Amino acid sequence: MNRLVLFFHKTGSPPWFYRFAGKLIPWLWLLFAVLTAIGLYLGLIEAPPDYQQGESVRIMYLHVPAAWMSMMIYALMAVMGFIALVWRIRIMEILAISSAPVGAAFTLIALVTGSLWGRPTWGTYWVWDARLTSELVLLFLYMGVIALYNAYDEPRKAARAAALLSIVGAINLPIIHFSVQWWNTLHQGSSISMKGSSIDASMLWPLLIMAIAAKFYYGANLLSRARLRLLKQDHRKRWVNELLDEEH
Amino acid sequence: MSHTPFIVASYLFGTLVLLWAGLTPVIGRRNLLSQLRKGQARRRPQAGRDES
Repeated sequence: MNRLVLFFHKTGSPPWFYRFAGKLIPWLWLLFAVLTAIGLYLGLIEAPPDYQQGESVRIMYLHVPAAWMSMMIYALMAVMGFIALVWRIRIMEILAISSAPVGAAFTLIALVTGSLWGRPTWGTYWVWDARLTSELVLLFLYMGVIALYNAYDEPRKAARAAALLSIVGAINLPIIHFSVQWWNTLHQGSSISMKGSSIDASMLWPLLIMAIAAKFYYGANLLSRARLRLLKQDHRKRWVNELLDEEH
Repeated sequence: MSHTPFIVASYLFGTLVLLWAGLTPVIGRRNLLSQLRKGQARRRPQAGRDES
């Protein structure tokens, strides 16, 4: 069998996934810590202040990666939810629902840091414009997915209901992305696109490094949450008893 | 207007949220494993008595 196909088959096995994730997590945390240290040094110390926004532009190195992550995690959650619904893969159900709290955390950071950035640049903490409102809706969607999952006693039924809501809620992602083009908003348009960037390299590099660091954070946190959920669901199964014996 | 308080508040808030989100599953797993070990230890002597 093809090695890649074999790997995907293996990830479907809870004990194998639990052990594999356990080995991967410390490396992901390490990469996150190293990249964050570099990104923060470059962004907070080396990068110059903006010619218009002044020092407040330094909030960008946290706000923008958090906002990107909030949308990326939701998209991944919807894709994993779709796979879980169609192919009934339990690990996918667990990964999808474990993504929700991490995504909600990044959305909350994006909203609060955006608000703190808005005060010195726009003169207000909050306006009900399209970008800010659609990002707030994203936070409510994450909370809805978590609440719906917790409303069921049976985890597989709960995962299916949460997956359905996450797929329906994905309609909000293009609204967030294009809101600055479709409506008149206080929020600035995208400075980075597939065509290039209008940001100077001295600011772009720390931003990209922080964005990559955030992805490692998501990976480590997601796998930690998935392991915990797997243990909770399977605590009466033989592999968990064997695991407890091994770790003694 | 000094921008420092807004920058400090942003990074402080971000750090707290990421720490909370990162530590919750680690603490949860540790507590669950300790509960499961206690349950296993309670069941073992009982199983031994049942066999004898």
